[in-house]
Amino acid sequence: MDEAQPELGQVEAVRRNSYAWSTGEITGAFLEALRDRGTILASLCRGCGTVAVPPNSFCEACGSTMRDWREVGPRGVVMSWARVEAPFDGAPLEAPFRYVLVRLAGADTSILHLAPDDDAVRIGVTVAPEFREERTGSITDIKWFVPEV
Amino acid sequence: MEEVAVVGWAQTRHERVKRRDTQQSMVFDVVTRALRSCSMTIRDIDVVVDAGSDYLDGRNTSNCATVDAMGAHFKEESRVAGDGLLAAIYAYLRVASGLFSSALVVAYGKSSEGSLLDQTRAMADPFYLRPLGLDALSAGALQARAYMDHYGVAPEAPAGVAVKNRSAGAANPNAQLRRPESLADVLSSGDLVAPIRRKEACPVSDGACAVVLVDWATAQTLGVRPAWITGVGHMQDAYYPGSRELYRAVSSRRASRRACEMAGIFDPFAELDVIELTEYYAYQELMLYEALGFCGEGEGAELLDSGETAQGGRTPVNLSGGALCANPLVATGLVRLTEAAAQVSNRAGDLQVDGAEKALAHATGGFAMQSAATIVLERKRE
Repeated sequence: MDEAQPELGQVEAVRRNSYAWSTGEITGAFLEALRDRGTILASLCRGCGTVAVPPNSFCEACGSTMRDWREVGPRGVVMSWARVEAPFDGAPLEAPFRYVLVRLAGADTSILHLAPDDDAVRIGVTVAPEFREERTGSITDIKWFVPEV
Repeated sequence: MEEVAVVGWAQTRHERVKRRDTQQSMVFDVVTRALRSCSMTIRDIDVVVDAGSDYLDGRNTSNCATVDAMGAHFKEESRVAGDGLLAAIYAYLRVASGLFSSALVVAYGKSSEGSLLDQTRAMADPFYLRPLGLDALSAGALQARAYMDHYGVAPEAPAGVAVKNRSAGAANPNAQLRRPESLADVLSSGDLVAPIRRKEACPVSDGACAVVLVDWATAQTLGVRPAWITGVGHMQDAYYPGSRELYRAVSSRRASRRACEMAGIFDPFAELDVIELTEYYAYQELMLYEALGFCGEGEGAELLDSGETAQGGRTPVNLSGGALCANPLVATGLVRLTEAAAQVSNRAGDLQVDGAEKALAHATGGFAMQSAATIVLERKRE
């Protein structure tokens, strides 16, 4: 036996799974609006009046079907933020960057998104989305939300 | 409904990497010792309920490959996707129904075998969260900031939880992190994802836990002091973090209230003797004090500072050191149940709280404590 061989303690493997997830009508329309018009759509619940963004086909609060749209934002208020320092595989931006929860004007829920690592990004600050030039129909068609000066 | 007791249990020594163990050998170890602890054999077990994570195990329908180690061969077995404490609630319901007289609960996880934060990114939906790379740590950091801002909690406050629990964990032979940390150590440990500091976060652990539940008649035959389950509660909140009141642990509040009301407990902090909470991050323990009604909203830091939740305090919380000292994910909440059961059955050894009669175990799951499970245990006077 080759003495250079290490003791066998682990077996390594990489498994890659591919998916093509159906967006459904509601999420599909939301992503199309981001891509084609640069607008942010929320779903309106006829049952309890909740305006949810990102939108859903159902209202998690009251169980009604959501079929109606409201355009919200584009500006909103930062409800919370977190600062990411370390890079990781699949990170949406080069670190450091910030996660933000933004309550867009006219919405009852907050949208999770990104912000630059700028000390002006604080709770209560008004932010506006910066859309990418080339858009693909993804939540990241908004690059991030930047504080208003 | 049948009365149900926790009569036996075992947990591994939780470690960063258990290289000498497979998932199955860890499971077999805790199952064997849990049965032995209550003088039962696998033949005495009617049903097995377990918790694990396919993604963590790296195998689809992973329980197919672990049922043999659980002793489930030719038994009814079912799996929950969630913490082992939820599996314990399922098992409780089975025995309470009278259809089964005994149940074995098993939970295990070898987080060392993959990348834990990457695993939590796989909890994200493909449209709204995953493209943003959200993981459990960043979701926790958003919640910590929302909580501290809403109530004006001092930025240093969560560090105090880490100091308390790391000090307690030093006395727990099963804990992974057994070295106390000073407040200065925690505060200067650097940001993981601000505002969560490195030493305010749970470690990555390998470990397993098994618990035996039996009905009243079986409990009389075993010769061990039972810990009776007198209340259970489980609650989900909305999945999307932006849809929730992130500054409150709403699902934990509701799950705990349900369990306590079922147990006839209306002032939990006064009536419970021992509490074991799942705090993946230090700030969560402060939020949970408030959610479980131990103090008013926004007063968690004051309660911590009062010392009433520390060892020797009125109602110690996480005498085991909690998740901050060992986090064998998926088993973390079930470990809380074994610690609580050990206390009310006077089998906690050096960690024993004199005269402990009522205890509560809590688990949480999902991004920023989306879901919660709680069990109340009691020693009944003979």
